[in-house]
Amino acid sequence: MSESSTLIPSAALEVLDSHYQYVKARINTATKRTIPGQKGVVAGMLNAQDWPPKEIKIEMFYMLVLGREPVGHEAYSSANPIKFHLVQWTWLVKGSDLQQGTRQAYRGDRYRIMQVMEDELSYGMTPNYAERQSWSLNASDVWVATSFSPKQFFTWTPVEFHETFTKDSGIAYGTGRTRLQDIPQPITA
Amino acid sequence: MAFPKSLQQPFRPQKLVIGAGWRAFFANFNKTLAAASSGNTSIGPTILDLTTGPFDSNNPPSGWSDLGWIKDFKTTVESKIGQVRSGYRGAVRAQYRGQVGESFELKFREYGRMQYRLATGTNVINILGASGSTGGTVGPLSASGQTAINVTAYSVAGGVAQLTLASPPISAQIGIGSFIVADQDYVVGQYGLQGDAGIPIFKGSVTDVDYIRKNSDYVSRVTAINGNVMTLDQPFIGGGSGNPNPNFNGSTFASFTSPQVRCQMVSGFAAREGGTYISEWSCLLMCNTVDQAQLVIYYPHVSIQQLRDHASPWTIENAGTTDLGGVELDAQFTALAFDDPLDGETVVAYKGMYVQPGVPFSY
Repeated sequence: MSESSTLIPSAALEVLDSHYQYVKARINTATKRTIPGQKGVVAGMLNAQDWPPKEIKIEMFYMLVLGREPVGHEAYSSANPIKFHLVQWTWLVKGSDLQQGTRQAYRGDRYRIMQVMEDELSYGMTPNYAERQSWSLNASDVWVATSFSPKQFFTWTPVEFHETFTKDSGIAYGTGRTRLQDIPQPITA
Repeated sequence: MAFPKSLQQPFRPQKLVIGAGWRAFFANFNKTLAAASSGNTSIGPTILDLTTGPFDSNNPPSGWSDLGWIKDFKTTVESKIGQVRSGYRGAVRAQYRGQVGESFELKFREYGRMQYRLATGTNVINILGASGSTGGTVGPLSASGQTAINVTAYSVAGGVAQLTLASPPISAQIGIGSFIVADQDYVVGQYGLQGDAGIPIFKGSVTDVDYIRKNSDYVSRVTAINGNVMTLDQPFIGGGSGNPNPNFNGSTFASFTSPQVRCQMVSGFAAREGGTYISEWSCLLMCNTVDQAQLVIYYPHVSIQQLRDHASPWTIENAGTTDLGGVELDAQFTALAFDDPLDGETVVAYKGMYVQPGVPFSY
């Protein structure tokens, strides 16, 4: 996430930012893994078209934004175009390099790290709702949240996991997909 | 210019109720007090003070037990509105309220003795552990269990319950992990509503000294033993006619000996189809919404409407040749009358909503 980007208020960004910050905070609180040189295990948020970034941080989570789609007509009105934001959490697992003098499968713990990361994301997503807040950068380039008054909340669907193990590269690719329900402010004029 | 609202149909913020379903809490109805109250319907229920809400589902009000997530909750209002028609055209000139009533149905997704007791509406009988004994041929539940040991103390401190026996628990085959029941001896010859569970006994029909323990709600699991002191996994609940509750929770030693309170091992529980007993409870159903509002339904006095128990299993996918099934407990209740001391109105349910602070409240 570029911290120098212009912060134009957006109803969609409120939901996406709130989801990202909520899940990130929970994962970083719960994780028992450490990535050398990194604070926490969540790397950033970007559009799916920008994937992959030039330098992927291995075994860290990225939140990819895939797009948005309207909900069914029962909950839709033109003044409240309720929609789902399609979000895919993505990560790559390389596994542990063998240390000199040990004999075991090279990077054979990839599946174990994959399961640990899925557990972390499940924990981070719980309980599938969070407060909708407006996020901005302060003078110190730190993200700060502003609540609505009264508070607003939004929900997301249960996360679905998929894994791909590419034998050529030896990299395992994990994804967790969810849909964020965005109930925007009414458009009245 | 503002768009016409009826063409655009905007939702106003915080006016949608989005929750994950209902959770059931039950509390005792004191049958003995109610039976002696000469028809005063406000005596007997566990009163839920709605002015203390919204309620914390992790820490429900005193006396209320969390019986878990429920599904397929459905109310059927049986109150009726009568109409007075008159005149040449037979138009309705006036309306009046007729009968008052409501029933509701739910399925307990979690399975325990209390859920079983509620769903069957019967006096669920504890099967006293009879390991090593030969049983009997008189009746399915007639045999005595293992040796009963006298109870000398029961205490609950900080949510941790301890039961002290007069001799080591092992002498009644009770070890860590055992299920136990602790309650009074039945005094042969007594009749009417007996024990804290308010079990009806006809004169001369029972001779089993373990009868109250067989019907007792005071069951628990032993998690630790230190000498003659057993730590239990949960405090005793139920026993709606006890005052105090349990009746042997008093400060005087005499309450343990008259009649004698004893402890026995339990291996399971059984409901019987039939009999005369009908269960009565107070009920609280709670639904929290993601907007931090809370819906509550409080029934001061409910009783089983139809005897049901195991619901059709919900299917669990299985790779084998047979499917696994999850068993739920189906229950249907009638809401009984409660004369509200506030104004004397006869009602059967209270349905409340606690709105998130700051949200427009009136409409």
